[in-house]
Amino acid sequence: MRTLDEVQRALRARVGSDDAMKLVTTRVFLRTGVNLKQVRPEQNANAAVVTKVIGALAAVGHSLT
Amino acid sequence: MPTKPSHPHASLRPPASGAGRPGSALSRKTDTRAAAADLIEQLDAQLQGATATAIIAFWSPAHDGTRLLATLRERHPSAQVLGCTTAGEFNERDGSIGGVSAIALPSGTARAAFAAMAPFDRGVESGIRIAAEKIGVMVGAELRTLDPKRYVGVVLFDGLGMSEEKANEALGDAAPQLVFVGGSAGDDLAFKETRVFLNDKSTTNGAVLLLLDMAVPFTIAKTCSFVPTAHKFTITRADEKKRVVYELDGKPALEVYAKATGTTPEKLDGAVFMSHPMGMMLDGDAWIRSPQMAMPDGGLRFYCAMTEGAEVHLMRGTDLVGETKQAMVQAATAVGGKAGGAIAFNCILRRLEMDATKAHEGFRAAFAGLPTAGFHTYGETYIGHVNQTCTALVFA
Repeated sequence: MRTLDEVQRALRARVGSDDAMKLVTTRVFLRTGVNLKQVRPEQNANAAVVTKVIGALAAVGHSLT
Repeated sequence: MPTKPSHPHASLRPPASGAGRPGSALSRKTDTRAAAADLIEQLDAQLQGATATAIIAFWSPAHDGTRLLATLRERHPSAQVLGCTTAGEFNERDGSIGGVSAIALPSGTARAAFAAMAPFDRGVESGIRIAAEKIGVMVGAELRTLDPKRYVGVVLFDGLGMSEEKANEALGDAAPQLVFVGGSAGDDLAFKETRVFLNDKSTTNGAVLLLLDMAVPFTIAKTCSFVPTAHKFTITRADEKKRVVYELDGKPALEVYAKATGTTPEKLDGAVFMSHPMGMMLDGDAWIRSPQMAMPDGGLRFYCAMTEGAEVHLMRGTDLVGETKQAMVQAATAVGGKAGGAIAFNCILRRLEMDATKAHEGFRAAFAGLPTAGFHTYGETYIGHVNQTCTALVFA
């Protein structure tokens, strides 16, 4: 995955409920500063940021790779 | 800024008949034995014979916490009894500095309570992980598999270790679907030693985790009295471990912050910091980061970790009392229209604001009629670590 938009879509496909999605995106936001619901254009294709977010998601049980 | 209650949960079954309602207490007595006896009398009158599954108490560091909890355990031997030192205590009726507040949860509120101490002597992550595993053994399942509609966590941290971010992340790793709410212990603004307690154990370097198997609907209230201004920055250089920001938008942080607040770096002081914290905004919800001090090396130190790349807003104050009341009304709605109790964690900076504006009575009115125990903290927890916020577990 090369962009945060792709990460967001992959996560959405994995996480069923809105409550669970809200919890996981809040955890990612507090750990990385990235709002997956509203990706900032300058962050979207930033490889370091994408890697950081994928790592944060893996830590909370959502391995996307 | 009012925050909608998050993750409202429906109960799986109604409370068992005769299982009691929660009781709250506050004692201003300075002698620990007398304060403990006072708490027990107040709690017993409300529990009306129901068995408590958990008793959570908050007290001034002037009290002997070990003796206090021992006395409470003697009266309620089957309960998990835990608590921490504070920078002030309150319940729905009264507040104190130098006193004790407490809440007893009967089985009609929490069917069961599981707790473990998480000492950080061998690392924050391992302390939390081992404590989470211990609780998992008590429950009979890994925490990550538990139903978030049924279980909720309370966490108390020591307030001076600056470990809350790491610890919250470790909690998120161990129990990603569960919500933990809580606060960091205080020491009446001495900033020398804060302590957390579980039953007969205590530590100045660690946390206490409590997992509640709730018998009633519950939600988390999170409120701060700030809204974003037009000033928005990206953190471009920070020492995340030390909670220091060096650059905002590629420029020296002190200069940028001072300019945005209408002053100069030399004139930055506690009053400016208190009235203009930073906020990370997520879906209109503010996650407050409060500046602590201007560093000699040009950095701006916060009470919360600041992540490089994050966007932060300069915030301005609104109505602390009004927004706390609104948050509690929303929480009551989320649990079915009428709340039955709350455990609240209110920032010391909010207490100082309330001291200055004589707003304590108004603040407590937000919890009127609702058995509540709370304390003024050195940091608040809800999923992560926040500042200048009140977080609360609210239940039906």
